[in-house]
Amino acid sequence: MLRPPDGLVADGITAIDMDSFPPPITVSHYLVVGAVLFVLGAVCMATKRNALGVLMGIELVLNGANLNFVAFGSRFLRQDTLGLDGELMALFVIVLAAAEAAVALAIALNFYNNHTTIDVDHADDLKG
Amino acid sequence: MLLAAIDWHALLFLLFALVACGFGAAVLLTSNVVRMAFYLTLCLGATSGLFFLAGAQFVGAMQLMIYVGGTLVLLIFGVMLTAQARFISMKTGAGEWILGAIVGSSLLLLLVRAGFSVESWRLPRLDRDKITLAEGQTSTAIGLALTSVRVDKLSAPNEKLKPGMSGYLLPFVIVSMHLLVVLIGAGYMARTKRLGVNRATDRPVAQAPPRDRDRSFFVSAGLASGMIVNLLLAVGCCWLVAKPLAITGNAAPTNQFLLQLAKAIDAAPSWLLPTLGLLFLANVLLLVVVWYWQKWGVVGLVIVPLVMAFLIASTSLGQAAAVTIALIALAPVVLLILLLCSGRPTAWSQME
Repeated sequence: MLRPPDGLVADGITAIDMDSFPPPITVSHYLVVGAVLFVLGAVCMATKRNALGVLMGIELVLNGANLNFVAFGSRFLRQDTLGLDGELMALFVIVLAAAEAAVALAIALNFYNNHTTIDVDHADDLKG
Repeated sequence: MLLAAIDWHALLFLLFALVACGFGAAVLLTSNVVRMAFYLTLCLGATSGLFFLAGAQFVGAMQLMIYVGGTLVLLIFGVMLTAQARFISMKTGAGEWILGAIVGSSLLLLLVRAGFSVESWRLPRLDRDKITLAEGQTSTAIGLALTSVRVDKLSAPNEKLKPGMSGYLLPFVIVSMHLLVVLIGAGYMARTKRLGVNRATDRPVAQAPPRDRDRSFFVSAGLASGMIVNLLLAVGCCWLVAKPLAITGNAAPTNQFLLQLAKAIDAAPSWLLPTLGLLFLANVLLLVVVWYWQKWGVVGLVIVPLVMAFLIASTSLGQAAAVTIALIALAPVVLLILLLCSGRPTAWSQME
C-alpha cells in the first residue's frame, strides 16, 4: 500500500491499491518503453551501413517520441494530463514521418541509381 | 478467482511492451535488411497496441494505417529495389558496435532515470474504476480540434483564447501543404533517369579492395599484455573499493609501500578509485579497438592517461603524483606506438 499525495486524501482516497498482478501501469512505464525504442533507434542510425537501415532507425526514434506524447496525453494513466494536445502532436509526428520517409527513400534510390551502392560510407562526394 | 485478480490492462501492456522492445532490438542486431524491415513491422504494430491501451484509439488506428500500412510498405519497396546480393547483409565493425553500445547504454540510463524522476508520473490513476470507455473516444474531439474548435477546453479561463485560438487549424494547413510539396518532390527525385542508369552500368563497382593485414608477433604480444595489465589494474581498483587496505601499526620496511598507498587512498575522495577502474576498463576496450585496426583507438589510449592525470591533479594527492602517474601510464603507449610504426609493412599504415 502506498500513501497518496496530500491533496487526494481529502477526496476520500486513503491508499493506492498496488497489490493487483501485475502492478497498475503508470506514465513512467510508458516512458521507459519509449526510452528503449528511442535508444535502439539512435544506435541503429549510428551503426547501420545500409541507408535503408538508417531510415528504419529514424522510424524507431520517432515512435519512441510518439509513445511519450500519447502517454502524457492519456486520461487512463493519471489525473491531470496534456489532454488532446498529446494525441494531436502524435498524429502530426506520424504524418511528418510519412513525408520524411518518402523524401529519404527518393534520395536513397537516386543515390543508388547514380552510384550503384546503398552503403552510406560511400556517400562522400562532397568531402573536401 | 485467479483470473479475476489479474489486471488485464497491465498484463497486455507488458505483452505489447516486450514485443515492441524485443523486435526493436532485433532490428538493431540483425544485419539482414529484409529481416530488419519485417521486425520493424512487428515492432510498430506492437506500439500501436500500446497506443490503444493508453486510450488513444484514433492515434493507434492511424499508426496501423499510415505507419504499418504506408510508410513501411514504402520502405519495403526501397529494400526490394536495392536488394542486390552484396547489400542484403552489411556487417558493422566491432569498434562501431563498442562505441554504439557505450553511447546507447549511457543515454538509456539517463532517460530511464528521468522517466522515474517525477512523482506524479510514478503513481497510477487512483479512481480507475470510474473510467468509462467513452473517455477514450477522442476521434470527434480530434477532428474538431483540427478545424480549430477545442471541445475539451470549452471552460478555458482566458475568454479571448476560447473562440478557436487554441485549435490546430494553422498546423493542419501547413502539414497539408508540406505533404503536397513532399510528394511532388519525391516523385520528381525518384524517377528513373536513363542517363544515370547507363552510367551506372558502365562504371565498375566502387568498393574498397579487401586487404590482407598481418600483425607482427611483437605488436600482438604488446596489445595482449596491455589488455592483461589494464584488466588487472581495473580489478585491483575494484578490489580496493570493496576491501580498503588496513593500516597496521608496525612500519616494517617491506610494508612501507603498502602503508603509503593506503594513506594516499584514504586521502583521496571516494569517487576516484571507481573512476580509475572504469578508465582502466576503457583502456582494455581501446586496445581491442586497436586490435581491429582502428586508428582512433591509439588516440584514445593517449587521452586516457591525460584524463587520469587531470583527475588525480584535481584531488588532494597533488600534482607531483599526477605527473608521475601520467608518465608511468604514457610510457607503454609510446612503446606501443613505436611497435606499430616499426616492421615492414608498418602496422600503422594498415590501420584505418
